[in-house]
Amino acid sequence: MDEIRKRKKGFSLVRRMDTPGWLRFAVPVISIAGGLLFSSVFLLASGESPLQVYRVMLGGAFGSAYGLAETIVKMIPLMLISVGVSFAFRMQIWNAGGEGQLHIGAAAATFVILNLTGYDKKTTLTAAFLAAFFCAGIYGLIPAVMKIKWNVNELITCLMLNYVGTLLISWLIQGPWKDPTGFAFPRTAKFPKAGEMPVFFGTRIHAGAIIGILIAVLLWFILAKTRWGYEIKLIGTNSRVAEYAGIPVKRYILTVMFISAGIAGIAGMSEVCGITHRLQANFAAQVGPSGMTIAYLAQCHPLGAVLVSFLFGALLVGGNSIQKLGLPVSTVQMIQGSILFFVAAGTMFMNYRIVWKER
Amino acid sequence: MTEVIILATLTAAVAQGTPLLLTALGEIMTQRSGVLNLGLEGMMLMGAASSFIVLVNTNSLILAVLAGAICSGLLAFIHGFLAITCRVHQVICGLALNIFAGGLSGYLGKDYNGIAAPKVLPNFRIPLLADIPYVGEIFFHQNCLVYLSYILVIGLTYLIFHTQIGLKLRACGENPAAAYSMGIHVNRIRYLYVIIGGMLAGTGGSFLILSTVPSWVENMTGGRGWIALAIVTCAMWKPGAAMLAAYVFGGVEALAYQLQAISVNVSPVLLKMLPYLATIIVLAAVSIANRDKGAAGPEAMTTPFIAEDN
Amino acid sequence: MSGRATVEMKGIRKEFPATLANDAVDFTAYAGEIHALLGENGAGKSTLMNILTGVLRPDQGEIRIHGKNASMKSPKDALKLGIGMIYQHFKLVKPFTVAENIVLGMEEIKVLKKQALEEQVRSLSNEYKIDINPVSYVWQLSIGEQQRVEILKVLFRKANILILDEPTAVLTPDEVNELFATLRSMAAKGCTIIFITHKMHEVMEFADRITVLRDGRLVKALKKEETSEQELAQLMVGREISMGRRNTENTTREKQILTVQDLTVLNDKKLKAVDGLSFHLYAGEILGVAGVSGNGQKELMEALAGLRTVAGGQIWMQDQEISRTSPRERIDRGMAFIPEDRYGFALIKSMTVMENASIKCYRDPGFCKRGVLNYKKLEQQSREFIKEFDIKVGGPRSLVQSMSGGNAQKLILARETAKEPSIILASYPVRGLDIKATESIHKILVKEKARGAGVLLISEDLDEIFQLSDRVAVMYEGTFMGILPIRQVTLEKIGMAMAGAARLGGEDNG
Repeated sequence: MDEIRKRKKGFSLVRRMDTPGWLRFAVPVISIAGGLLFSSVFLLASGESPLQVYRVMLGGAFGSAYGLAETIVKMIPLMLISVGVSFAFRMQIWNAGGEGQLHIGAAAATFVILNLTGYDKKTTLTAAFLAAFFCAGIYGLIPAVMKIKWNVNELITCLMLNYVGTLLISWLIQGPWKDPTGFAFPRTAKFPKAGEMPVFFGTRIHAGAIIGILIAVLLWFILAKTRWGYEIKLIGTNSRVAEYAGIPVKRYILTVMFISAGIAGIAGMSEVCGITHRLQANFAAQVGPSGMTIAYLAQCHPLGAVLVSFLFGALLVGGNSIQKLGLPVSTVQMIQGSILFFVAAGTMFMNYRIVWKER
Repeated sequence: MTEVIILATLTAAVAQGTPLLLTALGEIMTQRSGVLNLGLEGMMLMGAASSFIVLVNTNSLILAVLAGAICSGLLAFIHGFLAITCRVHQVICGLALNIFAGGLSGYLGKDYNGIAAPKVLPNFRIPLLADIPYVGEIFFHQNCLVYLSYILVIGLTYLIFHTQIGLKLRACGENPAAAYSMGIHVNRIRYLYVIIGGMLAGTGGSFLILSTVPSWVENMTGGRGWIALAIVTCAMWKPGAAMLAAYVFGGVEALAYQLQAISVNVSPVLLKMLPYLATIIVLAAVSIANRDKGAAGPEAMTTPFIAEDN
Repeated sequence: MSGRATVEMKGIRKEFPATLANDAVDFTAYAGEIHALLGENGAGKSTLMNILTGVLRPDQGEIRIHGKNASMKSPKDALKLGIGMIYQHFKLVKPFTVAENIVLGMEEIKVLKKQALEEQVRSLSNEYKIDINPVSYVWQLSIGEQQRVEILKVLFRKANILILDEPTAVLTPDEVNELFATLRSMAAKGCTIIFITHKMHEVMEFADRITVLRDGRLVKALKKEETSEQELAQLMVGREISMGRRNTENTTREKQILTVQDLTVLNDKKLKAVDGLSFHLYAGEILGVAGVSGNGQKELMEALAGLRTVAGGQIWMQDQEISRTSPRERIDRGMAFIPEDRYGFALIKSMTVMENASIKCYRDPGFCKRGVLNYKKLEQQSREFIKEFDIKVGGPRSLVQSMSGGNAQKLILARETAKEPSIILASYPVRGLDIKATESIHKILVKEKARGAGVLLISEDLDEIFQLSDRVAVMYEGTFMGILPIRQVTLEKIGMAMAGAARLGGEDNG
């Protein structure tokens, strides 16, 4: 009975069998413009000039070599988290726990570096990398196991574990790991030189950028070219068909969640080893939600996620620079949200044709 | 001494649980109509922010509560538009709503950071009922939104299970095609309950800032929206059970404060973790208990309804 | 019998983007009659009735109900005129009670006074002798009972023109008789009963008058006395069709290829769906399993394919026990599965033909080296499927959602038979397909059997069972009511066994 249409005259949505190429390009561009326009309404309402705000943001992010370098610096954790998250999203596993996993990864790396003294940079960083990956991965397994064993919604557990992870770090840096020479500051001791990631061009851009891009390329290859990628696509589109095809779906959920969380842990490691050189409070605010947004905007494509992360890095740097206009950083979050609204609505135009006719 | 502490904790459990309850009640209706709105956290934040701004500027508690409900209702409408009309994946537009509303509340609240509320919702005693020993103090010496939540729990239970309105609501979430074939405008009903759900979440946010934490800080809800979402599942979409669950979570929160107050030798940071851990544990426990009952929750939740396909 | 005309439709035309569903169709039904609307899938029967019930609006033509011009804008309008539809796929809310389902959407009932309501429903069901308990939840009811709820739903709204869409598809022969007894008593009270079908023997048995549609056009309207089953078949299809046996190959029946011992499987509600079932399947035979769906067929097939846990008993493939092996291992051992839910289990609509065609073979060394897939070869293979099985589709990169049901099913068969499986599990393989597609699917199954595969065929269509099976089993409440060679089976025996009234007799499964 799929031939039935509504009766009144009006708009109706007709499913597309195929999306034309120009739409795939036009819809995201128009959506981003729409999102910026929508945010303008709120900026205008409180007496800000949207043009001024966007200009300052643009200038802050791209206007100088420093700004550009900072954009790349901010892009690194976003890239790692979003690449990891999109890997899970591909399977319709809503890993919303990137923020918690990042914190656990950072803590694991910190623990290794502060306790494993006397080795060279290569050994120390490799150990920190592995520790961050595994600890965060295991942290990410908690929601996955609960989902598989008891059918608990992973989204809620992930978010709860974000709070738990963040609070755990606050406890560590206020209590057992607190730098005894650091006065009242809640933070650990500074890392030895062996625990610092190399930086490039005399900027703050660190090796995390390269790690991120390598991971993205690797994941892209797995997804696009290998049987595992094909299996993940089957599971993500219809897990019942995947089971019918003989794919061990549960094992995949665990594996993918472990890797996805592990990559988020690397994001944490690269922040403490590349930027702060110690574990401290608020070193990665807002990275989690942005990571999910990026993954969605990039349609869960790892290389796309790298590209979109760059734009979001710019948004963050731009966000910092509008603070001099007296606007809070959350303005950026608002702009992100409204862009996401429009891009989400835009998918409708890709999947459906809108027809005006008698129904 | 212990008695006083227990009484205070229980009273606080009701007070702390009520914003969770109001929000969860709204989401129960939203989900029963077949729409998942993950944007509770964002809607509570916007409810709190708009309430606070209106309160500071007008000094009227009534207007403040209304503002919270209306702003979050509008946000929910956006969610409804995306989820129902545009058929966007509901998890995605819920997350988008959280990001947007979180940002917007921070942006609008920028000039109000750290200001204390000029007034809070007053507690008053219900005559007679408040004189019942213990129970009276715990349940009937609260503010008007707490009393509203009692009325809502009873009213919604009746509405959902004993009236045509409830029948239609449940049918839209369970089998929209069947509802449509009986002449019910499925999507219209879904819009309605998505918006009502948003308004209640906004009221939950208002409660938070007008009673629980009377001062605006960015992200002041601190995950309560997500806890409310967990309550909906734990309560198996029943208002009465949601009440119980909300008070349990409120109680855990209150307990953390109380333990701090009587200076138990545990880091306050670790105590703050309690509600989140409790949520995970309760969610797991409820899922294990219901494991053999098959699929739970409205059958058609998160599935957009397309009249043309039926 | 020849009462006044209650439904008159004249010159109805309805066009959809790709098809002309109705063209100049006239249709008349009278009070007090049972009227059969006969035609193949896609003949335009459903469209015509959807126009009558206000779900669709005609492009041209006029409708008179009880002699008055009518234009229905929605099912609600139609119901006000006394027209009620009983859909093939029931529109019932499972967690609701019978009474709740009946009053759903009735604006005049604001508050559910449970007892009064139940009393009303009870008296209505007594009036029409429809046996149902208004307090039961719909999920507890059998298919036949659910259908009664649908009928009560429209009667409660005072409908006197009832349209039933393929009402017998899911019923046992006994339930069919019961249904038509009810319908007959309604007709006697002056109701007009219209039922959509494509089964000729039902028409001859139960209808008073018949309207035959083909390709969206009216072929003929006639009285039952004036026609025969053979004539109707010809009118319906437009050519002679063979109703005879399609499986004429010899059966070898030497090697036991699948052995099932005391198999017990639970359904989603954790109740026993398959209960201590035992049988053998031989290489080179088609074992047809008749029975009303919902008697454990789905659970049996899923358990055999490894998609559902076995609660008790054993499954053997030749001499290997596979009861607890993974689906992947069973696939590798040569088990193919054509599930009943084409799009829920076997195909992904939003993916391409190539991706769907590769589901069972992508791990083979020919297509996959060190984990890297050879997409060129996979595309080549799907192109061969399209050619060999005459699948009508744009190409390997077209999406499956653009295919018709028959072609989609051919794609599944192409994929499942590609690796020459030793066992083919086929659940309702031709459900919803037109006669031509059915023929080609049947040909493929017979060819596979001749090659030496053992085919386990589940079907609710007895014609199909008789056309294809070498041996016949009847499934009832989770077990077989015996297995007989096709020569010893009669329609009566099957009917009794389907209703659980008597055993089929024969070998196995004592």
